[in-house]
Amino acid sequence: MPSNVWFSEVEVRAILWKLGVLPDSQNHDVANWSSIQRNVNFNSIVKVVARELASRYGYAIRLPLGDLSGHVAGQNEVVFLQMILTDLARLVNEDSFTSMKVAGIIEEGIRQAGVRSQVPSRERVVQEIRGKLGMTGEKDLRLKPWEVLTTGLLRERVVDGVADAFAETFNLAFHYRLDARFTSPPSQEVVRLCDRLLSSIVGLSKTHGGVSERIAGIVRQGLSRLVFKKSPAPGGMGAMPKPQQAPVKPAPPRYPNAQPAPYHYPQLPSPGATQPAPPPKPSPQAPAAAAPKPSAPQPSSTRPAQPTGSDMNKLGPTPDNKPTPKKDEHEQYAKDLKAQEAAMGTAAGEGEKPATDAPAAPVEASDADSAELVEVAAPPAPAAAAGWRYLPIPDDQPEPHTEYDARDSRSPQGMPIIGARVRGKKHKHDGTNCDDSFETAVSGNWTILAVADGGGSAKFARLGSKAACSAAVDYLREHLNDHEIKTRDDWNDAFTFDPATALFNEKDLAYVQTAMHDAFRAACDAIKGEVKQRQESEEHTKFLGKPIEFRDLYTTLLIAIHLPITIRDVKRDLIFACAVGDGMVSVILEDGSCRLLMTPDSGEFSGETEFLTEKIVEQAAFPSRVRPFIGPMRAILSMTDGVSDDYFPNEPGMALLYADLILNGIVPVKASDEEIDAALAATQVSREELKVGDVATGVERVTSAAVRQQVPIRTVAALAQRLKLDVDKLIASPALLAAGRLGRPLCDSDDPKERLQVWLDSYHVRGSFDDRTLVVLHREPQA
Amino acid sequence: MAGRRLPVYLVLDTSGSMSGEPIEAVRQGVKALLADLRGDPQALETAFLSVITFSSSALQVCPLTELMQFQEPNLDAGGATSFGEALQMLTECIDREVQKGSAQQKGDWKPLIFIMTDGQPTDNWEQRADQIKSRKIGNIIACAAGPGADENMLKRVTEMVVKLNTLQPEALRQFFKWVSSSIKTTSQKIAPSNDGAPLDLPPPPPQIVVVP
Repeated sequence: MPSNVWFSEVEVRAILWKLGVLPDSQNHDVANWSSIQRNVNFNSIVKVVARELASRYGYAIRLPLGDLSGHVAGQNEVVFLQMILTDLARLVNEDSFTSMKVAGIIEEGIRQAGVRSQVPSRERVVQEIRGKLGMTGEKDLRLKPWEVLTTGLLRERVVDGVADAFAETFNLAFHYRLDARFTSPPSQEVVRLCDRLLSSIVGLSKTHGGVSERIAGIVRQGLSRLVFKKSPAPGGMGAMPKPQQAPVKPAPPRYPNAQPAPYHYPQLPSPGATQPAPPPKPSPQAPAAAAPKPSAPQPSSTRPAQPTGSDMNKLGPTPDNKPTPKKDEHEQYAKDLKAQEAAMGTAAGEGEKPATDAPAAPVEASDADSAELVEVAAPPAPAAAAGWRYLPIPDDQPEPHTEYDARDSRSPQGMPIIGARVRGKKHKHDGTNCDDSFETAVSGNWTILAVADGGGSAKFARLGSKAACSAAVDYLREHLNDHEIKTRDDWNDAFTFDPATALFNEKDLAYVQTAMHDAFRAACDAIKGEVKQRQESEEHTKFLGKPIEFRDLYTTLLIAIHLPITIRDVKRDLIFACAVGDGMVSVILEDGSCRLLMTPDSGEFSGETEFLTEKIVEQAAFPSRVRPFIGPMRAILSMTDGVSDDYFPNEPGMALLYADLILNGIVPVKASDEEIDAALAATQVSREELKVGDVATGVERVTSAAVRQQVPIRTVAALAQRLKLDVDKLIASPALLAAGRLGRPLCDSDDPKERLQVWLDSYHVRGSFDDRTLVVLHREPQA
Repeated sequence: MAGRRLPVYLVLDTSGSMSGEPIEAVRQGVKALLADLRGDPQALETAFLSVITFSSSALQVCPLTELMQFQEPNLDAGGATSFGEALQMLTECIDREVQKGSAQQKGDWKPLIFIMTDGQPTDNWEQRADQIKSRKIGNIIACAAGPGADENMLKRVTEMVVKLNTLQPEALRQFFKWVSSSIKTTSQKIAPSNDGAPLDLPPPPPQIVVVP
């Protein structure tokens, strides 16, 4: 049902305020931002506004690079562009990080252009372009390389690539500020970059009185291009919210009736401003194509250059010169979005004439335009990986540890066990080994799970974690095999213990407790054995610069064991957990809530933890570390701190973690389409909408120096935001969680262990760069 | 799910004896430190920086701020050496700004504190030094810079004392470079500090002598 919901002046002001162009004090009536966002036109409008501004940025960059030589820029135009560039240069000079970012953008532009040996050297070219843009203070530009650059088709491609990459950064900044593109918060780094770019604009608007009005003009033009496509039909509005009717105040005048001076380049106060300055049309071709230059400026249009949609897809301003995200993903996403917008009747510009009298916006909304608009909404790539390198596991260190491990098996009762471990970002950055290990086993009716995290400062921690896991698991497999737990009708007093020994009074339970204690002793002995074996090793001594010792193998160790029991004919789960060091073992109950089976790391400061040592396992009170749990469980989660720290506080963090595992398709959930529809009925979102516009955010996963791929990552937080529901409610509802799984899958494989590995390797939390290991034992949902 | 922060405090002597070339070298040092850290993704995600200066009085010229937001302070030298007041200020800032861990909240990494002074304190400092040492408020690295500095005095604040024999720009530059690489390697898991080396710092350059 096509809708003609407008944006009134109130809404335009709200948008400007959101962009930081209007000071806060002027706008206390913008509390209805969320209702403005719900306006069906909102996303399209923001896209146009951002696009308009972004293209001006691109234009501002093309000009000094000499790309627009065929066009004589008007006086005002030049002044405006100079201002943008001055501002950009100021931003860059102030901040070495941004400077690095800019260099990355230029690099990316050059890469896109496929410039290779024809030009002096990439570094030189970057320097030249930065110089030309006024970003470096260097005066001694060597003109020779510049001439090489500026002759032939090369320049056009390079310049286009650079300008468009810049423009896209700007575009992203606007989308971010207006919340129009991100379903979950973008990485801190994107936020910072966006904020800096935007504050640069605001700075402009404060220093130069005219700029604020100019930005307002851009917003208005963006609105006019969309809103006035169709003739207003006030009676024929659909059921969409109409924000301008909500306020009690008299309805403000609407555009175009109350059209203020429209956006126009020549509005800049300038003495020589007599003729409208027609912006030329820089080549809209993709930079990879040898584009014919537009022959002449087009004085009839005041629209600035529109970079091509395909260029705008690139969100690649990272210094790492990363490859462009896979094109087909963009296309798929664009298709999805188009379908979504079509379904909502708001696909921008279906070739209809704009019914506007705005003289500055004689915009023919061509088909090409609408295609661009859709395509520009490529999934955002939070610059999570910016600056993070990928170095392979070193081959000159003794006994490397594989980058990944992912395994699955079944418990004696047939419950799935999946476990995976990934090398942390920091280890990838430094080119060092993963320190984590895990091991699982079954024995009789028991299931045994072990995870271990080698200490970051211990050079052979990987050996320690591996030895600890296998020794402990082996010990328990041997000693639990035929051990039976008494059938009890009442477990209330089962876990009383002798304060002197910390041992349970009930013999069968104390046996388990002792077995777990001895498993830790066995793990400790195993590490000692590993050390002893290598004491004479020249290779290890050489690498360490000293003989190997126990502390070089420091590791944590977390063990959980599971046994199904029956209490008065009711099936229950008996679980014991024991840990040295940080990480977490948690039980997920049937209602989705969690119980922690160890004390979360709550040291005064992060980073201090205990490691498995003889001193600790021989503590008299060690048996009291063994924690029992009885209840109906849905799952046991056992993990190193690389995961548990990302879900802090662990209560209810572990419940969120399990819900995230469901959302990302790692553990199953059962809900029929009818149940999903029923659960979604209370929200504003339908199943179809979630199918085409899922709640996933693209996160960059780095799996080798050359491969960076986009992985759609879902979080309960993002889903809760999308459905406007409390997280608690989501977690408790299998149907809502099932709804959150709709859309693009995490990866092509539907093998849970592979998905677990991909997910662990991808999800982003600021300050989280440790190895990640997670082992899950879960009960499959009943049909 | 906020990430853990690594709070870094630079406590810098800006007394009169630092004026001229040394203070300029310190300015450059801070600049270089920032540039270097901003190029390191781990530091960018974790490190938060604060600068406390002391001359006739102590002043926190930059509150604990993440690297990208950090604005370089204006450093000017002149006045006395109120070392005790600086230690007091440091304690207050850490108490106020550093998150302690609990079951509900992830604690920050243990603060990393670099103290640099080139002279003799001119106020009462002994008691505050003892307090700081006993409270273990963070990993403190103290630098006695130049011939006039007293490394034994600094030993009362922390075990980790280094000495710069000159106040030459190159020596100061090396010091800040070492500070930077120390920050980069610090946010990793370690055993509690009572069993040996508390910090796994990178080896200092030749200009910096570790005071035993």
